[in-house]
Amino acid sequence: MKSAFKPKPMNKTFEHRLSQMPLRRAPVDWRQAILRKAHAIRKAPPEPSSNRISKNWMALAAVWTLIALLRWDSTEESTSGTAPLPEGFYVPCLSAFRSPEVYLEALLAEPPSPPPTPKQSRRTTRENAFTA
Amino acid sequence: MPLPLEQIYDAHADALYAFLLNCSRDHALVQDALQEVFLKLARSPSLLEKARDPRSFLLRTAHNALRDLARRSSTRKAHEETLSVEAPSLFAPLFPSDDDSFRLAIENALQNLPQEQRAVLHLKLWENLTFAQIGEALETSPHTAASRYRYALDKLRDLLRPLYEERL
Repeated sequence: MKSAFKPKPMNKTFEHRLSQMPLRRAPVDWRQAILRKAHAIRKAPPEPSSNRISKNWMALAAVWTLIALLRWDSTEESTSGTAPLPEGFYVPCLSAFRSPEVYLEALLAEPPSPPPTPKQSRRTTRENAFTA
Repeated sequence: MPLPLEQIYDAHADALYAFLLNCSRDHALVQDALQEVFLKLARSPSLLEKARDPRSFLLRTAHNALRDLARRSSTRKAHEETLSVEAPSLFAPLFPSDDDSFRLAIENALQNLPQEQRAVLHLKLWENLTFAQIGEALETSPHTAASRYRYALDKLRDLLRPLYEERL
């Protein structure tokens, strides 16, 4: 009696039988379409290397130029081509590399007090009049 | 001197197509992957010359192309919700007609296997590659390829046993 738990093993004939199954061929119309595209690529002149590389190199050169300018600017007392600023003035966004301490000091400095409101002005006038 | 593309196509396209068709049920994707293989050869004609085993190299290229395209396609589909084109049957129709039921049963059983097992099974059964070659083609170890093959064959046996035993 054949056991349900010990099924009869299928030998190599199973694999052999599977391997003999005829496989579908690639559609005939694909050949022409694929080869036409492949030949179009093969015949196309190779993209000049300058076109592929120059964009990257130009971007890199621009970045390095900017860095060089900023570093040069940081060693100069004033920005080239502009009038020197009066003592005690600077443009933080242009001079971030110049002296971080000064920039930090400016950031931490107490903001100037806002102009008095009309109400405050009236009150001050009243107080002064009373004092007088 | 690289071989003409026509010669490469005639020698390998059917095998690559069947392999891709077994790996994916999206016929449009299969066509794109097959095309990608030949576009790659057109771009770098010396690629095939450098390969130790041209068939293994082409199968690996096709497998990679299919994987990349499927990844892009699944992303695109997630956005566009387009339906894939259903692939035709992998096997040619058999005669007599009762063999055709066996063909359909194998096809259904193959669809129940994970894609990586199906790929190994295909390369072993229908390409007659060694596990070392399969490992190279699928970028995995020969041991992994061998175990995937055993798992796949066991599962196929279980699925097809009733039908197969009738024929013994």
